[in-house]
Amino acid sequence: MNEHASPNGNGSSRAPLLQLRGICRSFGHVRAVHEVDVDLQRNEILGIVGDNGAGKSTLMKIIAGTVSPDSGRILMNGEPVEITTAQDSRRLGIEMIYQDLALFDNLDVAANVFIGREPTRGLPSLLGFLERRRMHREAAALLERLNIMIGSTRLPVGVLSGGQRQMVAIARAVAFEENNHILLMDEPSAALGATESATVTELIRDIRGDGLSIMIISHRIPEVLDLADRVMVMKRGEHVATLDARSTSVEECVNLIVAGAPAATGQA
Amino acid sequence: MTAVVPEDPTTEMSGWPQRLRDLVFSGKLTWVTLGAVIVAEFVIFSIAAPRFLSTTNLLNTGRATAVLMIVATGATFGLISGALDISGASVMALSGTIGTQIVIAGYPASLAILAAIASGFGAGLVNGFVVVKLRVNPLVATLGMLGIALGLAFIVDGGSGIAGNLRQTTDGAYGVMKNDLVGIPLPLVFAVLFAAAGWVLLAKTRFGLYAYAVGGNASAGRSVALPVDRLRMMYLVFSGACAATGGWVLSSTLGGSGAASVPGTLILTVVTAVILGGVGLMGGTGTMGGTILGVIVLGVLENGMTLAGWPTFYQYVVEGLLLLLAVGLEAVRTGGYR
Amino acid sequence: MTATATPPGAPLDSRAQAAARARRLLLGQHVLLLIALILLGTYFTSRLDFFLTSQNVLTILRFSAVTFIVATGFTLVLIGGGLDLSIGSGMAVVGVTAGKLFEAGVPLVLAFVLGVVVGVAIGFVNGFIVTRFRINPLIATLAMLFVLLGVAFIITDGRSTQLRDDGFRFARENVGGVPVPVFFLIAVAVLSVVLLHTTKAGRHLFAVGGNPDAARQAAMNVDRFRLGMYTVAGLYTGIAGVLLASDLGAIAPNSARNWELYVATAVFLGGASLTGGRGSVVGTFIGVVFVSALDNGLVQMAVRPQIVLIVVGAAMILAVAFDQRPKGGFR
Repeated sequence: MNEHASPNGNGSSRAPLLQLRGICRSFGHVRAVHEVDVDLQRNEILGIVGDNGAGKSTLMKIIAGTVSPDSGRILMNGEPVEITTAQDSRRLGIEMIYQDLALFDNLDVAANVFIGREPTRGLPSLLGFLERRRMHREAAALLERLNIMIGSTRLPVGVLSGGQRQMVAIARAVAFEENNHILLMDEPSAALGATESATVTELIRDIRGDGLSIMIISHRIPEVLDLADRVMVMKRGEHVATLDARSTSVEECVNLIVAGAPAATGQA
Repeated sequence: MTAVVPEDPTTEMSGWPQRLRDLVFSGKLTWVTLGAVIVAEFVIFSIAAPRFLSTTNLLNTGRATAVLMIVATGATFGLISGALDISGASVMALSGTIGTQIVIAGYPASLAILAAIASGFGAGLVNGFVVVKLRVNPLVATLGMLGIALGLAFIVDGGSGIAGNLRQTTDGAYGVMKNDLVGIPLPLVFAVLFAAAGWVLLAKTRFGLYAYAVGGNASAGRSVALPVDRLRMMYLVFSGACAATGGWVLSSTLGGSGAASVPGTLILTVVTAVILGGVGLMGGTGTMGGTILGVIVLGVLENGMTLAGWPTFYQYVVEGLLLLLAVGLEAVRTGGYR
Repeated sequence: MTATATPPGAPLDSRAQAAARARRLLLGQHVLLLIALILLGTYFTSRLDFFLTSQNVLTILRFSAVTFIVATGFTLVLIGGGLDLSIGSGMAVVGVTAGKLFEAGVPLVLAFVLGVVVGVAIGFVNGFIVTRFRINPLIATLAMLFVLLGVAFIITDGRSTQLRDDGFRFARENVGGVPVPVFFLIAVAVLSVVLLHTTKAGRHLFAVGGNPDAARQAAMNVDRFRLGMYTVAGLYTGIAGVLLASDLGAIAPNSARNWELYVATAVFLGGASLTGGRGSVVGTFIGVVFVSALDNGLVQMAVRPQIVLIVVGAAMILAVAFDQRPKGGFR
């Protein structure tokens, strides 16, 4: 159904890191996502663009486990996987950064980075004593490694700027290297000014070097083309096309987003 | 009260409220303020009632405030996690009544104490179920429990509201809180240990941290895969268990209690203490240290006013106004209700 | 997490709409509550010979009247997005004020009018605290509950006294076989329906309660609405407080303890919502009659009043749980 076949379709001997096949999801009688296939390669940045209501966020939430698909399969490394809860996806090494960032304004930076995975001592599970000093030390090291400028890991996140908050969310998502494979980002620069958004773009480029695959939703098409390897276009819940970010243009993308087809020819 | 300032009421606060807000903006000022209030209380009451400063009276104050401290510890966790639990006074009544009746029926004290505290677990579980599964606002859920637990307490004690005094049938262990430990009332010792444990739990453990997380941003909690519903349930159960523990301590101090032994106004005192101590109404903020200071402010106030010869009902007015003041200060700090 | 998977298919649209309409009709809170009331009445009638006599029905109505009047104020406040837990204490202050004035030789009518004025003032103070000091209405009125309770005790010096004056006990009289409070009930009901449904302010109150931010953006003065609704609620508290004092024939600071629970139960049963913007006078009326009939029937069946407390508490939780189900409720 796509005129633009996936460029990395069968070049590699290994299966793509993440494959979605025939994913459908309706809300009432609205088809949010319909028969969508996606391949995400290792170390790739895949941009997802489309108009409001094109199904981008729903698709991501399906991968993150906060929305369950009506039908379709998800494969990692060619093996089928079951993702029905946020815990499932986290266990598989999938991290999502939500548009609202899901930060705790009343907690400090270190607690936000470690939330749900705090190092503890003594008693098991909930009653374990927090190793606060270690949390602050490791959070500070993480921020330094990622070149994130925040005065102190003891600051409550509520007092940080929009860009700093975004970067704390990213740092949290990449903090646990060993099982971290895929990062999903929903509009990381939507609420940011030009300078802050450039800093965040820089950070995304940096972490990609750390061996991470990233799916990123954005309205800012030039930014996506600059950042991503491939760009996937969605319209009314359907996967319209996948473009090579280096060989396409902003115009081509916009045409696909608006018309659902290149050069405004009709699409079945 | 101030002169009426002509201004558009929908705009931000300005003038003196703004200055006041700047003054109290830093949370740590709560502690300083409460410390100052306690000092002021000591000065005023030692003048108004010469007996106030005696060791005996101070220890009595500690004994009388112990129950408040225990219940307020639970309420602190509840409110930080976003649930104002107003069923505490009734749960206390139920717990004390159950314990007393079990002792009267001739069973061992250990069983009575266990059953008393278990009743609080039960009430907390029901509260949690109603909030988490039926999605009822915690205020309504615990208001309902306020009626249910009190009704149950009356049924358990046979409708009299007052339990027979246990002195004749006393099982020593149940009434252990009547005793002193090296001259210090046992309830006071117990409450200090209880509050210290609460402090450690809140400040040092995951259980405490997640109370702030769930109360601060429940939807973020779901996004990062925290078991939000299970946690909410746990804090309500903890709050119920603390109330029941307080109920037993009161019952033990009194040597047996009934449904009417817990004044309904106690819940005002608990809520006032917790909010005075800096726990935000919307959840996510507050400390055990603040709650402890809030409890001391109110405990000293009640004792001092009684000693100075003010009838109990004047305390309602003072405490109500104090609660308004506490929430008013919080509203100034956070921008308040819109 | 939300429930998933409505089966796909085009004809669902009309079918779903029809089902939704049927559900609204069947499960609409008034209809459902009315059915529950009829079932309750049938049950009590089958168990108690006395239940469905005109005398007992009038007794239920007489008790309902006071509750309904104060519950209507509670409903108005809920519709506007507020909450008023101080109603019971407010009624106590009103009642003891009127009683004390009468005892001191103030003419009967003037004593009652002054009592109502005190109620209005209490409502205004509630509204003032909430709007001017931006204190959350739950805590503001919880604090007022205790302040007013204390005031009621201070006025009476902590004592209850009987007033055996037939004039003072006018609420016990019947006119044309109908208890006097019922006429007040009708007056308050009519006034409230007119206020809510025929005036612009009344209709805007739903908007203010449902979404205060949107109402502000539509240039409504939200605070003025709030102040107004608390003041009207205070008026109703005043009327109810006077009627209760008259009915009891006593100056009793403790007379309206725990009324919050009964009133809240009746109002939530009647379909008002804690999140504002919803509620109706008719629903509240049915809710009040339901709670009064429940109370009356259980007491006659020699069930201990404490069990009534349990039943009422549980009923309130269930009413809110049921009401919140379609919208997802507290999260």
